[in-house]
Amino acid sequence: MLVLSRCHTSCPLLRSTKHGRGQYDASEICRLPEKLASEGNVTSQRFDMLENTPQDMDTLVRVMIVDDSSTVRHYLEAILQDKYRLVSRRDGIEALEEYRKNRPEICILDMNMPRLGGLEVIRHIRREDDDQDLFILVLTSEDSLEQKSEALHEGANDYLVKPFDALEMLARVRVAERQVRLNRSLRQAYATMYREIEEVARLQRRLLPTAPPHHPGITVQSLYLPSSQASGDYFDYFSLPDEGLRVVMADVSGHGAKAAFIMSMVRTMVRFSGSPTQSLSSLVELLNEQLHRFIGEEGDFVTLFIADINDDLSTLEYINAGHAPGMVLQNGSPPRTLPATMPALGIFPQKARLNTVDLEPDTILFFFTDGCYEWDVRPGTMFGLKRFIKHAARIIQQPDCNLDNLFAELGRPHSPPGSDDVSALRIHLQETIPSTDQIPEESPHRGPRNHT
Amino acid sequence: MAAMQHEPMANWTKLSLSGKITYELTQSLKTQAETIINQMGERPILVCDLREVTFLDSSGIGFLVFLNNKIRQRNGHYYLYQPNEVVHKTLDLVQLLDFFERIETESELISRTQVDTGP
Repeated sequence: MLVLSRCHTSCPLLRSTKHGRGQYDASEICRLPEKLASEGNVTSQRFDMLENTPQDMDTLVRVMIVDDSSTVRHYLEAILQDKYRLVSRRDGIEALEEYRKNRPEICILDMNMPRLGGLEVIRHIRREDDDQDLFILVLTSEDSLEQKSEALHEGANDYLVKPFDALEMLARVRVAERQVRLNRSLRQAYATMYREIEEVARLQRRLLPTAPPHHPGITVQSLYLPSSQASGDYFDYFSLPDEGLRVVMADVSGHGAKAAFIMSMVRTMVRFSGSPTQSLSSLVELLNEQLHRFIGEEGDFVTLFIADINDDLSTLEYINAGHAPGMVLQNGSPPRTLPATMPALGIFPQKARLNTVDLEPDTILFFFTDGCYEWDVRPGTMFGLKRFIKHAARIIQQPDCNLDNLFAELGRPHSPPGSDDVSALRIHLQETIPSTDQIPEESPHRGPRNHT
Repeated sequence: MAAMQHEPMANWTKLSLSGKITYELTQSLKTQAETIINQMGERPILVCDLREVTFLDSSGIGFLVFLNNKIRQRNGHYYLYQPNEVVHKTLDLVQLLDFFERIETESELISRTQVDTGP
Protein backbone atom coordinates (compact mmCIF):
# COMPACT_ATOMS: atom_id res chain seq x y z
CA MET A 1 0.00 0.00 0.00
CA LEU A 2 2.52 2.53 -1.15
CA VAL A 3 -0.26 4.91 -1.97
CA LEU A 4 -1.62 5.06 1.53
CA SER A 5 1.73 5.51 3.18
CA ARG A 6 2.26 8.62 1.12
CA CYS A 7 -1.20 9.97 1.59
CA HIS A 8 -1.78 9.82 5.28
CA THR A 9 -3.14 13.30 5.64
CA SER A 10 -6.58 14.33 4.80
CA CYS A 11 -6.76 14.79 1.06
CA PRO A 12 -7.31 18.40 -0.04
CA LEU A 13 -9.02 17.25 -3.18
CA LEU A 14 -11.87 15.90 -1.13
CA ARG A 15 -12.49 18.90 1.06
CA SER A 16 -14.90 20.46 -1.30
CA THR A 17 -17.06 18.42 -3.56
CA LYS A 18 -19.83 19.38 -5.91
CA HIS A 19 -22.36 17.42 -3.92
CA GLY A 20 -20.95 18.32 -0.54
CA ARG A 21 -20.04 14.75 0.18
CA GLY A 22 -17.62 13.79 2.89
CA GLN A 23 -14.00 14.36 3.41
CA TYR A 24 -12.02 11.17 3.64
CA ASP A 25 -8.53 10.82 4.94
CA ALA A 26 -6.11 8.35 3.48
CA SER A 27 -6.87 5.61 5.94
CA GLU A 28 -10.46 5.77 4.83
CA ILE A 29 -9.73 5.64 1.14
CA CYS A 30 -9.04 1.95 1.18
CA ARG A 31 -12.43 1.42 2.79
CA LEU A 32 -14.16 3.80 0.41
CA PRO A 33 -16.67 1.35 -1.07
CA GLU A 34 -17.88 0.16 2.33
CA LYS A 35 -17.98 3.68 3.70
CA LEU A 36 -19.98 5.03 0.78
CA ALA A 37 -22.44 2.21 1.13
CA SER A 38 -22.78 2.54 4.88
CA GLU A 39 -23.51 6.24 4.49
CA GLY A 40 -26.34 5.36 2.21
CA ASN A 41 -24.88 7.55 -0.51
CA VAL A 42 -24.80 4.79 -3.04
CA THR A 43 -27.45 2.51 -4.34
CA SER A 44 -26.80 -1.20 -4.39
CA GLN A 45 -25.98 -0.81 -8.06
CA ARG A 46 -23.38 1.84 -7.35
CA PHE A 47 -21.97 -0.26 -4.53
CA ASP A 48 -21.66 -3.12 -6.95
CA MET A 49 -19.67 -0.81 -9.15
CA LEU A 50 -17.14 -0.37 -6.37
CA GLU A 51 -17.18 -3.92 -5.12
CA ASN A 52 -13.89 -5.72 -5.20
CA THR A 53 -14.64 -8.91 -7.06
CA PRO A 54 -11.88 -11.32 -8.00
CA GLN A 55 -10.89 -10.77 -11.59
CA ASP A 56 -8.26 -12.08 -13.85
CA MET A 57 -5.66 -9.36 -14.33
CA ASP A 58 -5.81 -9.89 -18.08
CA THR A 59 -9.40 -8.82 -18.15
CA LEU A 60 -8.86 -5.69 -16.03
CA VAL A 61 -9.03 -2.47 -17.97
CA ARG A 62 -5.66 -0.72 -18.18
CA VAL A 63 -5.79 2.84 -16.87
CA MET A 64 -2.99 5.39 -17.14
CA ILE A 65 -3.01 8.32 -14.72
CA VAL A 66 -1.04 11.32 -15.94
CA ASP A 67 -0.58 14.19 -13.53
CA ASP A 68 2.41 16.14 -12.29
CA SER A 69 0.94 16.26 -8.78
CA SER A 70 1.90 13.21 -6.76
CA THR A 71 -1.04 13.91 -4.43
CA VAL A 72 -3.51 13.64 -7.28
CA ARG A 73 -1.81 10.57 -8.68
CA HIS A 74 -1.81 8.79 -5.34
CA TYR A 75 -5.36 9.73 -4.61
CA LEU A 76 -6.59 8.44 -7.99
CA GLU A 77 -4.59 5.25 -7.48
CA ALA A 78 -6.28 4.75 -4.14
CA ILE A 79 -9.72 5.17 -5.68
CA LEU A 80 -9.14 2.98 -8.71
CA GLN A 81 -6.63 0.36 -7.69
CA ASP A 82 -9.09 -2.39 -6.82
CA LYS A 83 -10.91 -2.32 -10.14
CA TYR A 84 -8.29 -1.38 -12.69
CA ARG A 85 -4.76 -2.12 -13.75
CA LEU A 86 -3.05 1.18 -13.06
CA VAL A 87 0.05 2.94 -14.16
CA SER A 88 0.93 6.54 -13.27
CA ARG A 89 3.08 9.01 -15.17
CA ARG A 90 4.20 12.52 -14.31
CA ASP A 91 4.00 14.44 -17.61
CA GLY A 92 3.11 14.22 -21.28
CA ILE A 93 6.47 12.82 -22.39
CA GLU A 94 6.28 9.95 -19.91
CA ALA A 95 2.63 9.46 -20.83
CA LEU A 96 3.38 9.05 -24.55
CA GLU A 97 6.24 6.65 -23.81
CA GLU A 98 3.97 4.53 -21.65
CA TYR A 99 1.12 4.76 -24.15
CA ARG A 100 3.29 3.52 -27.02
CA LYS A 101 4.81 0.78 -24.90
CA ASN A 102 1.80 -0.71 -23.14
CA ARG A 103 -1.29 0.75 -24.82
CA PRO A 104 -3.50 1.67 -21.88
CA GLU A 105 -7.24 1.72 -22.58
CA ILE A 106 -8.24 4.69 -20.39
CA CYS A 107 -6.13 7.76 -19.77
CA ILE A 108 -6.92 10.20 -16.94
CA LEU A 109 -5.04 13.20 -18.18
CA ASP A 110 -4.03 16.45 -16.54
CA MET A 111 -3.78 19.47 -18.87
CA ASN A 112 -1.09 21.65 -17.36
CA MET A 113 2.09 19.70 -16.91
CA PRO A 114 5.81 20.38 -17.40
CA ARG A 115 7.62 19.28 -20.59
CA LEU A 116 4.46 18.28 -22.50
CA GLY A 117 0.91 19.30 -21.66
CA GLY A 118 -2.27 17.26 -21.91
CA LEU A 119 -3.52 18.92 -25.08
CA GLU A 120 -0.34 17.91 -26.94
CA VAL A 121 -0.70 14.36 -25.63
CA ILE A 122 -4.24 14.20 -27.05
CA ARG A 123 -3.04 15.53 -30.41
CA HIS A 124 -0.20 12.99 -30.60
CA ILE A 125 -2.48 10.08 -29.79
CA ARG A 126 -5.36 11.07 -32.04
CA ARG A 127 -3.44 12.43 -35.01
CA GLU A 128 0.03 10.91 -35.11
CA ASP A 129 -0.84 7.52 -33.70
CA ASP A 130 -4.31 7.70 -35.22
CA ASP A 131 -5.80 5.99 -32.16
CA GLN A 132 -9.46 6.84 -31.69
CA ASP A 133 -10.03 4.03 -29.18
CA LEU A 134 -8.11 5.23 -26.12
CA PHE A 135 -10.66 6.79 -23.76
CA ILE A 136 -9.23 10.12 -22.61
CA LEU A 137 -10.72 11.63 -19.49
CA VAL A 138 -9.31 15.10 -18.96
CA LEU A 139 -8.87 16.03 -15.31
CA THR A 140 -7.83 19.63 -14.80
CA SER A 141 -8.12 22.50 -12.39
CA GLU A 142 -8.90 24.85 -15.26
CA ASP A 143 -12.62 25.22 -15.76
CA SER A 144 -12.55 27.56 -18.75
CA LEU A 145 -15.02 26.88 -21.53
CA GLU A 146 -12.26 27.43 -24.11
CA GLN A 147 -9.97 24.75 -22.73
CA LYS A 148 -12.81 22.31 -22.26
CA SER A 149 -14.01 22.84 -25.78
CA GLU A 150 -10.48 22.62 -27.23
CA ALA A 151 -9.71 19.38 -25.37
CA LEU A 152 -12.95 17.76 -26.54
CA HIS A 153 -12.40 19.08 -30.06
CA GLU A 154 -8.90 17.55 -30.15
CA GLY A 155 -10.28 14.17 -29.13
CA ALA A 156 -10.82 13.98 -25.37
CA ASN A 157 -13.83 11.83 -24.49
CA ASP A 158 -14.71 13.39 -21.15
CA TYR A 159 -13.75 16.32 -18.97
CA LEU A 160 -13.73 16.65 -15.19
CA VAL A 161 -12.66 19.66 -13.12
CA LYS A 162 -10.55 19.55 -9.93
CA PRO A 163 -11.46 19.41 -7.16
CA PHE A 164 -13.61 16.44 -7.98
CA ASP A 165 -15.99 14.15 -6.21
CA ALA A 166 -14.67 10.62 -5.75
CA LEU A 167 -17.99 9.09 -6.66
CA GLU A 168 -18.27 11.14 -9.79
CA MET A 169 -14.73 10.17 -10.80
CA LEU A 170 -15.51 6.50 -10.24
CA ALA A 171 -18.73 6.81 -12.20
CA ARG A 172 -16.97 8.47 -15.13
CA VAL A 173 -14.19 5.89 -15.19
CA ARG A 174 -16.90 3.25 -15.10
CA VAL A 175 -18.51 4.85 -18.18
CA ALA A 176 -15.10 4.77 -19.84
CA GLU A 177 -14.70 1.13 -18.84
CA ARG A 178 -18.04 0.25 -20.45
CA GLN A 179 -16.84 1.87 -23.67
CA VAL A 180 -13.52 0.01 -23.48
CA ARG A 181 -15.23 -3.33 -22.87
CA LEU A 182 -17.62 -2.67 -25.75
CA ASN A 183 -14.65 -1.91 -28.02
CA ARG A 184 -12.95 -5.09 -26.83
CA SER A 185 -15.99 -7.22 -27.62
CA LEU A 186 -16.41 -5.53 -31.00
CA ARG A 187 -12.78 -6.22 -31.83
CA GLN A 188 -13.18 -9.80 -30.70
CA ALA A 189 -16.35 -10.27 -32.75
CA TYR A 190 -14.66 -8.70 -35.76
CA ALA A 191 -11.62 -10.93 -35.33
CA THR A 192 -13.82 -14.04 -35.15
CA MET A 193 -15.74 -12.96 -38.25
CA TYR A 194 -12.50 -12.11 -40.05
CA ARG A 195 -11.04 -15.55 -39.26
CA GLU A 196 -14.19 -17.28 -40.50
CA ILE A 197 -14.25 -15.31 -43.74
CA GLU A 198 -10.56 -15.99 -44.15
CA GLU A 199 -11.33 -19.70 -43.90
CA VAL A 200 -13.99 -19.31 -46.59
CA ALA A 201 -11.51 -17.41 -48.74
CA ARG A 202 -8.81 -20.04 -48.27
CA LEU A 203 -11.24 -22.77 -49.26
CA GLN A 204 -12.42 -20.69 -52.18
CA ARG A 205 -8.90 -20.25 -53.54
CA ARG A 206 -8.50 -24.01 -53.44
CA LEU A 207 -11.56 -24.32 -55.69
CA LEU A 208 -9.84 -22.37 -58.44
CA PRO A 209 -7.91 -24.39 -61.01
CA THR A 210 -4.14 -24.41 -60.73
CA ALA A 211 -3.01 -27.20 -63.03
CA PRO A 212 -2.51 -26.43 -66.72
CA PRO A 213 -5.01 -27.95 -69.16
CA HIS A 214 -4.15 -31.38 -70.54
CA HIS A 215 -4.47 -30.21 -74.13
CA PRO A 216 -0.97 -29.58 -75.55
CA GLY A 217 -2.13 -26.66 -77.66
CA ILE A 218 -3.77 -24.70 -74.81
CA THR A 219 -2.03 -22.51 -72.26
CA VAL A 220 -3.94 -20.62 -69.61
CA GLN A 221 -3.01 -17.64 -67.48
CA SER A 222 -5.30 -16.46 -64.73
CA LEU A 223 -5.62 -13.44 -62.51
CA TYR A 224 -7.62 -13.47 -59.27
CA LEU A 225 -7.76 -10.43 -57.02
CA PRO A 226 -10.59 -10.59 -54.48
CA SER A 227 -11.60 -7.18 -53.11
CA SER A 228 -11.84 -8.55 -49.58
CA GLN A 229 -11.03 -12.06 -48.43
CA ALA A 230 -14.01 -13.91 -49.89
CA SER A 231 -15.14 -13.23 -53.43
CA GLY A 232 -18.08 -13.69 -55.76
CA ASP A 233 -15.88 -14.22 -58.79
CA TYR A 234 -15.42 -17.71 -60.15
CA PHE A 235 -13.38 -19.04 -63.02
CA ASP A 236 -12.66 -22.58 -63.99
CA TYR A 237 -11.45 -24.76 -66.84
CA PHE A 238 -11.40 -28.50 -67.22
CA SER A 239 -11.06 -31.14 -69.89
CA LEU A 240 -14.14 -32.65 -71.48
CA PRO A 241 -14.46 -36.34 -72.38
CA ASP A 242 -13.91 -35.49 -76.08
CA GLU A 243 -10.56 -33.78 -75.20
CA GLY A 244 -12.02 -30.33 -75.58
CA LEU A 245 -11.81 -27.74 -72.81
CA ARG A 246 -14.70 -26.18 -70.89
CA VAL A 247 -14.00 -22.65 -69.65
CA VAL A 248 -16.09 -20.71 -67.14
CA MET A 249 -15.97 -17.12 -65.95
CA ALA A 250 -18.73 -16.05 -63.57
CA ASP A 251 -19.53 -13.22 -61.22
CA VAL A 252 -22.03 -13.31 -58.37
CA SER A 253 -23.67 -9.94 -57.67
CA GLY A 254 -22.14 -8.28 -54.62
CA HIS A 255 -19.11 -9.65 -52.85
CA GLY A 256 -18.04 -11.04 -49.49
CA ALA A 257 -19.15 -14.23 -47.75
CA LYS A 258 -22.64 -14.45 -49.28
CA ALA A 259 -21.29 -14.08 -52.81
CA ALA A 260 -18.61 -16.67 -52.02
CA PHE A 261 -21.28 -19.12 -50.88
CA ILE A 262 -23.31 -18.64 -54.08
CA MET A 263 -20.10 -18.96 -56.09
CA SER A 264 -19.44 -22.38 -54.55
CA MET A 265 -23.00 -23.44 -55.49
CA VAL A 266 -22.32 -22.43 -59.09
CA ARG A 267 -19.00 -24.26 -59.17
CA THR A 268 -20.55 -27.44 -57.80
CA MET A 269 -23.29 -27.37 -60.42
CA VAL A 270 -20.85 -26.61 -63.24
CA ARG A 271 -18.49 -29.39 -62.19
CA PHE A 272 -20.82 -32.12 -61.01
CA SER A 273 -24.33 -31.68 -62.41
CA GLY A 274 -25.53 -34.09 -65.01
CA SER A 275 -23.37 -36.29 -67.19
CA PRO A 276 -19.88 -35.32 -68.31
CA THR A 277 -21.25 -34.73 -71.78
CA GLN A 278 -24.07 -32.49 -70.62
CA SER A 279 -24.61 -29.76 -73.17
CA LEU A 280 -23.83 -26.16 -72.31
CA SER A 281 -27.48 -25.19 -72.82
CA SER A 282 -28.88 -27.78 -70.42
CA LEU A 283 -26.21 -26.93 -67.84
CA VAL A 284 -26.97 -23.20 -68.00
CA GLU A 285 -30.72 -23.84 -67.79
CA LEU A 286 -30.18 -26.01 -64.73
CA LEU A 287 -28.01 -23.31 -63.15
CA ASN A 288 -30.63 -20.67 -63.86
CA GLU A 289 -33.44 -22.77 -62.43
CA GLN A 290 -31.54 -23.57 -59.22
CA LEU A 291 -30.29 -20.03 -58.71
CA HIS A 292 -33.76 -18.63 -59.32
CA ARG A 293 -35.18 -21.02 -56.77
CA PHE A 294 -32.60 -20.35 -54.06
CA ILE A 295 -31.29 -16.81 -54.44
CA GLY A 296 -33.71 -15.07 -56.79
CA GLU A 297 -35.99 -13.54 -54.22
CA GLU A 298 -33.31 -11.32 -52.68
CA GLY A 299 -32.30 -9.92 -56.05
CA ASP A 300 -28.99 -11.79 -56.16
CA PHE A 301 -27.93 -13.07 -59.55
CA VAL A 302 -25.01 -14.52 -61.45
CA THR A 303 -23.47 -13.44 -64.71
CA LEU A 304 -21.74 -16.27 -66.52
CA PHE A 305 -19.59 -16.81 -69.57
CA ILE A 306 -19.21 -20.50 -70.29
CA ALA A 307 -17.56 -21.93 -73.36
CA ASP A 308 -16.44 -25.22 -74.85
CA ILE A 309 -13.34 -25.20 -77.03
CA ASN A 310 -13.33 -28.26 -79.21
CA ASP A 311 -10.36 -30.59 -79.26
CA ASP A 312 -8.93 -29.41 -82.59
CA LEU A 313 -9.22 -25.79 -81.39
CA SER A 314 -11.31 -24.85 -84.42
CA THR A 315 -14.53 -23.77 -82.72
CA LEU A 316 -15.76 -22.14 -79.56
CA GLU A 317 -19.31 -22.76 -78.41
CA TYR A 318 -20.37 -20.31 -75.77
CA ILE A 319 -23.21 -18.92 -73.70
CA ASN A 320 -22.87 -15.47 -72.24
CA ALA A 321 -25.52 -14.93 -69.55
CA GLY A 322 -25.35 -11.20 -68.87
CA HIS A 323 -21.58 -11.30 -68.40
CA ALA A 324 -18.93 -8.90 -69.68
CA PRO A 325 -18.13 -9.76 -73.30
CA GLY A 326 -15.49 -12.35 -73.97
CA MET A 327 -12.73 -11.40 -76.39
CA VAL A 328 -11.29 -13.34 -79.31
CA LEU A 329 -7.97 -12.09 -80.68
CA GLN A 330 -6.59 -13.55 -83.85
CA ASN A 331 -3.45 -12.59 -85.74
CA GLY A 332 -3.27 -9.06 -84.44
CA SER A 333 -6.66 -8.13 -85.89
CA PRO A 334 -9.09 -5.99 -83.83
CA PRO A 335 -10.68 -7.93 -80.99
CA ARG A 336 -13.91 -9.73 -81.70
CA THR A 337 -16.18 -9.44 -78.71
CA LEU A 338 -18.69 -12.05 -77.60
CA PRO A 339 -21.54 -10.11 -75.95
CA ALA A 340 -24.34 -11.50 -73.82
CA THR A 341 -26.55 -14.05 -75.52
CA MET A 342 -29.08 -14.14 -72.70
CA PRO A 343 -29.88 -12.32 -69.43
CA ALA A 344 -28.05 -12.91 -66.16
CA LEU A 345 -29.00 -16.07 -64.24
CA GLY A 346 -31.22 -16.49 -61.20
CA ILE A 347 -33.70 -13.71 -61.91
CA PHE A 348 -36.42 -15.43 -63.94
CA PRO A 349 -36.95 -18.72 -65.81
CA GLN A 350 -35.37 -18.65 -69.26
CA LYS A 351 -33.95 -20.76 -72.05
CA ALA A 352 -30.24 -20.80 -72.73
CA ARG A 353 -28.93 -19.33 -75.98
CA LEU A 354 -25.77 -20.80 -77.47
CA ASN A 355 -23.44 -19.23 -80.04
CA THR A 356 -20.58 -20.75 -81.99
CA VAL A 357 -17.46 -18.99 -83.25
CA ASP A 358 -14.93 -20.48 -85.65
CA LEU A 359 -11.38 -20.02 -84.50
CA GLU A 360 -8.21 -19.56 -86.49
CA PRO A 361 -4.88 -21.03 -85.48
CA ASP A 362 -2.98 -19.05 -82.86
CA THR A 363 -5.95 -17.45 -81.16
CA ILE A 364 -6.07 -15.76 -77.79
CA LEU A 365 -9.29 -15.83 -75.79
CA PHE A 366 -9.75 -13.40 -72.93
CA PHE A 367 -12.49 -13.53 -70.31
CA PHE A 368 -12.85 -11.19 -67.35
CA THR A 369 -15.19 -9.86 -64.68
CA ASP A 370 -16.53 -6.32 -64.30
CA GLY A 371 -13.99 -5.51 -61.57
CA CYS A 372 -11.46 -5.23 -64.41
CA TYR A 373 -13.08 -2.07 -65.77
CA GLU A 374 -15.37 -0.67 -63.05
CA TRP A 375 -12.82 1.52 -61.30
CA ASP A 376 -12.31 5.25 -61.16
CA VAL A 377 -9.52 6.76 -63.22
CA ARG A 378 -10.21 9.90 -61.20
CA PRO A 379 -13.20 10.78 -59.00
CA GLY A 380 -16.34 10.56 -61.10
CA THR A 381 -14.66 9.05 -64.19
CA MET A 382 -14.77 5.33 -64.63
CA PHE A 383 -12.20 3.42 -66.70
CA GLY A 384 -15.10 1.69 -68.44
CA LEU A 385 -15.64 -1.40 -70.57
CA LYS A 386 -14.91 0.13 -73.98
CA ARG A 387 -11.55 1.51 -72.89
CA PHE A 388 -10.69 -1.72 -71.10
CA ILE A 389 -11.36 -3.83 -74.20
CA LYS A 390 -9.21 -1.52 -76.32
CA HIS A 391 -6.21 -1.59 -73.96
CA ALA A 392 -6.60 -5.22 -72.90
CA ALA A 393 -6.54 -6.28 -76.56
CA ARG A 394 -3.09 -4.70 -76.95
CA ILE A 395 -1.73 -6.04 -73.67
CA ILE A 396 -2.91 -9.62 -73.89
CA GLN A 397 -1.67 -10.06 -77.46
CA GLN A 398 1.90 -9.40 -76.38
CA PRO A 399 3.86 -12.68 -76.61
CA ASP A 400 5.34 -12.15 -73.14
CA CYS A 401 2.03 -11.04 -71.61
CA ASN A 402 1.86 -11.51 -67.86
CA LEU A 403 -1.63 -10.99 -66.41
CA ASP A 404 -0.11 -10.02 -63.08
CA ASN A 405 1.03 -6.82 -64.79
CA LEU A 406 -2.33 -6.08 -66.42
CA PHE A 407 -3.27 -3.17 -64.17
CA ALA A 408 0.23 -1.77 -64.10
CA GLU A 409 0.05 -1.62 -67.89
CA LEU A 410 -3.33 0.09 -67.61
CA GLY A 411 -1.71 2.75 -65.44
CA ARG A 412 -2.81 1.32 -62.10
CA PRO A 413 0.18 -0.27 -60.39
CA HIS A 414 -1.78 -0.88 -57.21
CA SER A 415 -4.37 -3.52 -57.82
CA PRO A 416 -7.12 -4.39 -57.32
CA PRO A 417 -7.97 -0.96 -58.63
CA GLY A 418 -11.56 -0.73 -57.41
CA SER A 419 -13.73 -2.12 -54.66
CA ASP A 420 -14.90 -5.12 -56.70
CA ASP A 421 -13.38 -8.55 -57.18
CA VAL A 422 -11.16 -8.91 -60.22
CA SER A 423 -10.70 -12.08 -62.28
CA ALA A 424 -9.31 -12.66 -65.76
CA LEU A 425 -8.40 -15.65 -67.91
CA ARG A 426 -6.10 -15.52 -70.93
CA ILE A 427 -6.28 -18.66 -73.00
CA HIS A 428 -3.78 -19.13 -75.79
CA LEU A 429 -4.74 -21.66 -78.44
CA GLN A 430 -1.64 -22.59 -80.36
CA GLU A 431 -1.47 -24.67 -83.45
CA THR A 432 -0.19 -28.13 -82.70
CA ILE A 433 1.45 -30.07 -85.48
CA PRO A 434 -1.09 -32.70 -86.42
CA SER A 435 -0.43 -35.74 -88.54
CA THR A 436 -1.49 -35.23 -92.16
CA ASP A 437 -4.66 -37.28 -91.84
CA GLN A 438 -5.82 -34.97 -89.00
CA ILE A 439 -5.58 -31.66 -90.89
CA PRO A 440 -9.13 -30.24 -90.95
CA GLU A 441 -10.67 -28.57 -93.97
CA GLU A 442 -10.78 -24.80 -93.61
CA SER A 443 -14.18 -23.61 -92.57
CA PRO A 444 -15.60 -20.82 -94.74
CA HIS A 445 -17.54 -19.38 -91.82
CA ARG A 446 -15.72 -16.99 -89.48
CA GLY A 447 -18.46 -15.08 -87.72
CA PRO A 448 -20.43 -15.81 -84.52
CA ARG A 449 -23.10 -18.42 -85.01
CA ASN A 450 -26.40 -18.58 -83.27
CA HIS A 451 -27.85 -21.81 -81.93
CA THR A 452 -30.95 -21.29 -79.91
CA MET B 1 -22.56 9.74 -52.44
CA ALA B 2 -25.72 7.76 -52.98
CA ALA B 3 -29.11 8.66 -51.66
CA MET B 4 -32.64 7.26 -51.67
CA GLN B 5 -35.66 9.49 -51.26
CA HIS B 6 -39.14 8.27 -50.67
CA GLU B 7 -42.15 10.32 -51.76
CA PRO B 8 -45.65 8.93 -51.19
CA MET B 9 -48.14 10.16 -53.82
CA ALA B 10 -51.92 9.83 -53.84
CA ASN B 11 -52.03 6.26 -55.07
CA TRP B 12 -48.42 5.41 -55.81
CA THR B 13 -44.98 5.85 -54.33
CA LYS B 14 -41.88 7.36 -55.84
CA LEU B 15 -38.45 6.16 -54.81
CA SER B 16 -35.68 8.40 -56.14
CA LEU B 17 -32.16 7.07 -56.28
CA SER B 18 -29.10 9.18 -56.88
CA GLY B 19 -25.32 8.81 -56.97
CA LYS B 20 -23.48 5.49 -56.90
CA ILE B 21 -25.64 2.52 -55.97
CA THR B 22 -23.07 -0.01 -54.86
CA TYR B 23 -22.49 -2.98 -52.58
CA GLU B 24 -21.55 -0.79 -49.62
CA LEU B 25 -25.09 0.64 -49.56
CA THR B 26 -27.47 -1.88 -51.02
CA GLN B 27 -28.03 -3.92 -47.86
CA SER B 28 -29.16 -0.84 -45.98
CA LEU B 29 -31.20 0.36 -48.98
CA LYS B 30 -32.98 -3.01 -49.06
CA THR B 31 -33.93 -2.71 -45.39
CA GLN B 32 -35.24 0.82 -45.87
CA ALA B 33 -37.10 -0.09 -49.05
CA GLU B 34 -38.71 -3.11 -47.45
CA THR B 35 -40.11 -0.91 -44.67
CA ILE B 36 -41.49 1.50 -47.27
CA ILE B 37 -43.04 -1.31 -49.33
CA ASN B 38 -44.62 -2.87 -46.24
CA GLN B 39 -46.37 0.44 -45.57
CA MET B 40 -47.78 0.62 -49.10
CA GLY B 41 -50.66 -1.80 -48.67
CA GLU B 42 -52.06 -4.19 -51.27
CA ARG B 43 -51.28 -3.89 -55.00
CA PRO B 44 -48.67 -1.19 -54.54
CA ILE B 45 -47.32 0.94 -57.38
CA LEU B 46 -43.67 1.80 -57.00
CA VAL B 47 -41.90 4.11 -59.42
CA CYS B 48 -38.14 4.11 -59.12
CA ASP B 49 -36.70 7.36 -60.42
CA LEU B 50 -33.22 6.69 -61.83
CA ARG B 51 -32.43 10.02 -63.48
CA GLU B 52 -29.74 10.95 -60.99
CA VAL B 53 -27.96 7.62 -60.69
CA THR B 54 -24.29 7.93 -61.67
CA PHE B 55 -23.21 4.29 -61.28
CA LEU B 56 -24.79 0.91 -60.62
CA ASP B 57 -22.64 -2.06 -59.73
CA SER B 58 -23.99 -5.62 -59.73
CA SER B 59 -25.40 -5.10 -56.21
CA GLY B 60 -27.15 -1.98 -57.47
CA ILE B 61 -28.75 -3.99 -60.26
CA GLY B 62 -29.64 -6.59 -57.63
CA PHE B 63 -31.35 -3.87 -55.62
CA LEU B 64 -33.58 -2.99 -58.60
CA VAL B 65 -34.41 -6.68 -59.03
CA PHE B 66 -35.14 -6.95 -55.29
CA LEU B 67 -37.63 -4.05 -55.49
CA ASN B 68 -39.28 -5.68 -58.50
CA ASN B 69 -39.63 -9.00 -56.65
CA LYS B 70 -41.06 -7.43 -53.51
CA ILE B 71 -43.66 -5.42 -55.42
CA ARG B 72 -44.64 -8.36 -57.65
CA GLN B 73 -45.09 -10.56 -54.58
CA ARG B 74 -47.79 -8.11 -53.50
CA ASN B 75 -49.40 -8.11 -56.94
CA GLY B 76 -48.23 -4.59 -57.50
CA HIS B 77 -46.56 -2.69 -60.33
CA TYR B 78 -42.95 -1.62 -60.45
CA TYR B 79 -41.50 0.84 -62.96
CA LEU B 80 -38.11 2.32 -63.67
CA TYR B 81 -38.61 6.00 -64.38
CA GLN B 82 -36.37 7.67 -66.96
CA PRO B 83 -33.29 5.49 -66.48
CA ASN B 84 -30.39 7.60 -67.75
CA GLU B 85 -27.68 6.49 -70.16
CA VAL B 86 -25.50 4.97 -67.43
CA VAL B 87 -28.38 2.86 -66.14
CA HIS B 88 -29.41 1.91 -69.70
CA LYS B 89 -25.92 0.69 -70.56
CA THR B 90 -25.53 -1.22 -67.31
CA LEU B 91 -28.86 -3.00 -67.60
CA ASP B 92 -28.25 -3.67 -71.27
CA LEU B 93 -24.92 -5.36 -70.53
CA VAL B 94 -26.60 -7.91 -68.26
CA GLN B 95 -29.56 -8.06 -70.69
CA LEU B 96 -32.06 -6.95 -68.08
CA LEU B 97 -33.29 -3.80 -69.81
CA ASP B 98 -36.44 -5.53 -71.02
CA PHE B 99 -36.97 -7.34 -67.74
CA PHE B 100 -38.06 -4.08 -66.14
CA GLU B 101 -41.07 -2.02 -67.14
CA ARG B 102 -39.80 1.45 -67.99
CA ILE B 103 -41.51 4.82 -68.06
CA GLU B 104 -39.74 7.37 -70.22
CA THR B 105 -42.06 10.41 -70.14
CA GLU B 106 -44.07 12.35 -67.61
CA SER B 107 -47.33 11.82 -69.50
CA GLU B 108 -46.66 8.09 -69.53
CA LEU B 109 -46.04 8.28 -65.78
CA ILE B 110 -49.42 9.93 -65.25
CA SER B 111 -51.27 7.43 -67.39
CA ARG B 112 -49.55 4.38 -65.88
CA THR B 113 -50.12 5.44 -62.29
CA GLN B 114 -53.77 6.24 -63.01
CA VAL B 115 -54.55 3.16 -65.07
CA ASP B 116 -52.87 0.83 -62.62
CA THR B 117 -55.00 1.96 -59.70
CA GLY B 118 -58.07 0.54 -61.38
CA PRO B 119 -59.78 -2.59 -60.07
